Amino acid sequence: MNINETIKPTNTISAYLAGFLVHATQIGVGVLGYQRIIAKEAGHDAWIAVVLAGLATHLIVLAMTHTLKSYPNADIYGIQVDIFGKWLGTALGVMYAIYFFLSATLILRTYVEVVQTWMFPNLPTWVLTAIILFLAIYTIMGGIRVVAGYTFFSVSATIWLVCDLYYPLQYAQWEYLFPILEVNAEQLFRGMLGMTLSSIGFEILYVIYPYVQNKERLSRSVQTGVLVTNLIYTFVMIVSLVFFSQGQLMRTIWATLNLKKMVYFPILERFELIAISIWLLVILPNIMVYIWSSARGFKRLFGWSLRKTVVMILPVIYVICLLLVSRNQINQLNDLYSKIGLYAAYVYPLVLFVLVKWKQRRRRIKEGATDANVPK
Amino acid sequence: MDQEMARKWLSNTGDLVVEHIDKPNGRVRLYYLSTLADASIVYNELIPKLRLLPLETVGIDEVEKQLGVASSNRVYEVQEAVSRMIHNAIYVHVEGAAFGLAIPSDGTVGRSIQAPEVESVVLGPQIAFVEELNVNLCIIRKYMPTTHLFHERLVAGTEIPVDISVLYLENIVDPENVNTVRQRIQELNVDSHLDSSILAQYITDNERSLFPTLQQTERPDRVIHGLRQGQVAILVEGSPFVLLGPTTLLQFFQSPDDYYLRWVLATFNRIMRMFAMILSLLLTPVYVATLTYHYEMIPADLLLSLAQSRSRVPFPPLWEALLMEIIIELLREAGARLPTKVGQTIGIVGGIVIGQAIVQAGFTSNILIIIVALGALSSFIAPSYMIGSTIRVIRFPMILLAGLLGAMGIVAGFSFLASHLLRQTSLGRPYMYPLYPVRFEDWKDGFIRAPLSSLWLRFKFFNPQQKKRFNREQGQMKKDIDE
Repeated sequence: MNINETIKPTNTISAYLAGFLVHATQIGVGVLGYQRIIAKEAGHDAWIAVVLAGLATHLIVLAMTHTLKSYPNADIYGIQVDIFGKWLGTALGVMYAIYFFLSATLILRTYVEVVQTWMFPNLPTWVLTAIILFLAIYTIMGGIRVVAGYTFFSVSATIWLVCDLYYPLQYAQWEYLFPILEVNAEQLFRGMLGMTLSSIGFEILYVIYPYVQNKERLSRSVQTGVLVTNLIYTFVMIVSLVFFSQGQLMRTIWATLNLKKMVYFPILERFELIAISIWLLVILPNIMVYIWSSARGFKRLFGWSLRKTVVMILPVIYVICLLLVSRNQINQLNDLYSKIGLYAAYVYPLVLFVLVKWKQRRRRIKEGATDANVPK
Repeated sequence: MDQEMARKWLSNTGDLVVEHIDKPNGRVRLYYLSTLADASIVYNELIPKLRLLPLETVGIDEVEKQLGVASSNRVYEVQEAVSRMIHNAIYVHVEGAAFGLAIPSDGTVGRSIQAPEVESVVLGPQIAFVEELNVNLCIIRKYMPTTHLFHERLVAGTEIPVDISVLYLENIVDPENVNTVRQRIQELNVDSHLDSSILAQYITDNERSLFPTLQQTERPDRVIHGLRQGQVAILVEGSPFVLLGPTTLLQFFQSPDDYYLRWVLATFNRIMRMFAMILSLLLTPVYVATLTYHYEMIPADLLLSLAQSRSRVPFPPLWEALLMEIIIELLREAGARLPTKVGQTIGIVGGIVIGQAIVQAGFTSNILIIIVALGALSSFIAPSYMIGSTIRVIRFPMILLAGLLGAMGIVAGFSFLASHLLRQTSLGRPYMYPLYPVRFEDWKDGFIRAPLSSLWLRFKFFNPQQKKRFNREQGQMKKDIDE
């Protein structure tokens, strides 16, 4: 396996699209109900935890871009093999691919759960899952460019949903926010950990990196994408904190959807139903990118064709989605996923960054040493 | 070639005419097809000239000199002679000579040039292409007097060859586009085809898609505009429609009218067209979705009037909507097939009588009639007939999805549409340009139509060799207010 890869120019994407991809993969089902989890730990200072978690994300993304920049055109699967050797590198690669695959599954199942809770209580899981997976596979088969284009459209078509927070803001109780910083550092940190599930997604940068055309602009665009995500999370968090009292917030599972209930037009009520439908556009890029990243992993590690791998992955996702029946199961798996995500997306990139830099330095010393030893 | 041979080669056709001119020392034969060639040339020019030939020598050289025809008209093979004859030529044969002469003549029947009917505009030239390739080429040449206009003749069809002309401005066009077009036409392996619409389906990027990926127009001004931007035009003998490629989805919502009107009006029209398309796609599905699943979304007052209107309707909204949509499609198809005068009657019968009666009979609600009529009307706003038809067809799966999954189904339908459009290409170039890949500078002549002075760059999508149309400084020259 080649650690670096050459991608055909017809398959590459512009740097700004990488920003869109990262942003779109971060925003998923998490944003619909992350408020309760964080407020549980950090109380009315939850927004500070969100900001801090955002800053941490920026930092991790910076480490990731630097790790990737150490190679001409490699992705995580190649880098791991380079650092850890063939066997351990491949094993870690498989784990990462399974992690991506698990992400796609959980996002899909959680979304179906939301739809069943809010819109169609009697809709069987298999119908909606099949439809969403069909839409995903149809787009993935068009290649990364089509996936990126779809992501671009979905972000452009859904970003305006933030504006509807104007309606709950009319009923804002700003004194709910005070006194600022009542919590201690440990509570804040636990609040930050609660953000993991919502803000992971940027790790797909590890896989799309070889496909980016103008890599010198990549860092800026990805950081912008992460920044937009963080701004949205912070804004939604603040609105939730001033709209709900702490007691209410603890009892509200999908707080963002409850906020959307406040939207009222002369010809339209119950806006959250529209929002949930449109949310399909938000979660589809998530599922597509994760499935694509996972299939890329198997292609890189074992040389399977991407098309076949995607076709093989889909039934597995479908079956897992059908096996998850109760709300409780989904919740437990989401908690587990959140823990895995913390290590896979926050801790591990830092470790990898250090290892890559250390190995490079050693290589440079070695080469420098051999250069010096060459007799003239 | 003697008479028997000619008859054999032309499948014993009844319209083969052979004129004999016998001189003592040589015999001349004139072969032509009376249905194709201009007989007046034969009798007013060729025969009198040949009768004047001197008695002593009648060879092919003398005949050639006497008739005063160019050497390019020499024909050495029977096959060649016959193929010239079925292209209107008169074949002159001298017994014993090594070659014959094929003298071209005009004489085919054709329609006279008329005003465009499919794509009519209020302002701008009122001229449309006709079925004859040469007349169409003449129109383009006449309104585009430039030496850069490059004209390539191709032939497609293994059984019955059809002349195809590929036109482009060689100093502007991207050679890659020309190569793609040429290659696709040359690699075409069908016995024959009739029309540019059929050719378009053969050489299109994705034949299975509902969306047209080559523009088709009967307006010379549209073709000339396309050529100037760097598009490739394909003309087919026997078709009054010219193909233009590569193209984008947005271009199907643009009309030549946009350039004849002032820019605010043109922009307004363009935005209205997009709006109409979305309306046409969404109205009926939204009606079906809200009334089937999400009636809690409708405010109480509105719901009351809706419920009253629907109180007598025995069908669920999905069936009600499908019934109405099918009736509208029936009327449209009937209107397109019937002669003009009867067509109007059908319109009145369909629109007023059926519309009134169906509500009174309690089959559908008033509101649905309004919605379906609006949706149908909107789909006819599209400046391109093809895209209008596409949108009318897409409505049906949308209604079905709305009936099955409500708002969720509509979003899923739109999502599929987005993926599908993103996957399309036109001559290998992205179909959704300039939306994706995003090129804001080309939005100036996409969603909106900016003032002409600011359209100083050619559409980048065509990758023109000359990027600039004119100098921006000169185009936007402004004076200070005190000058």
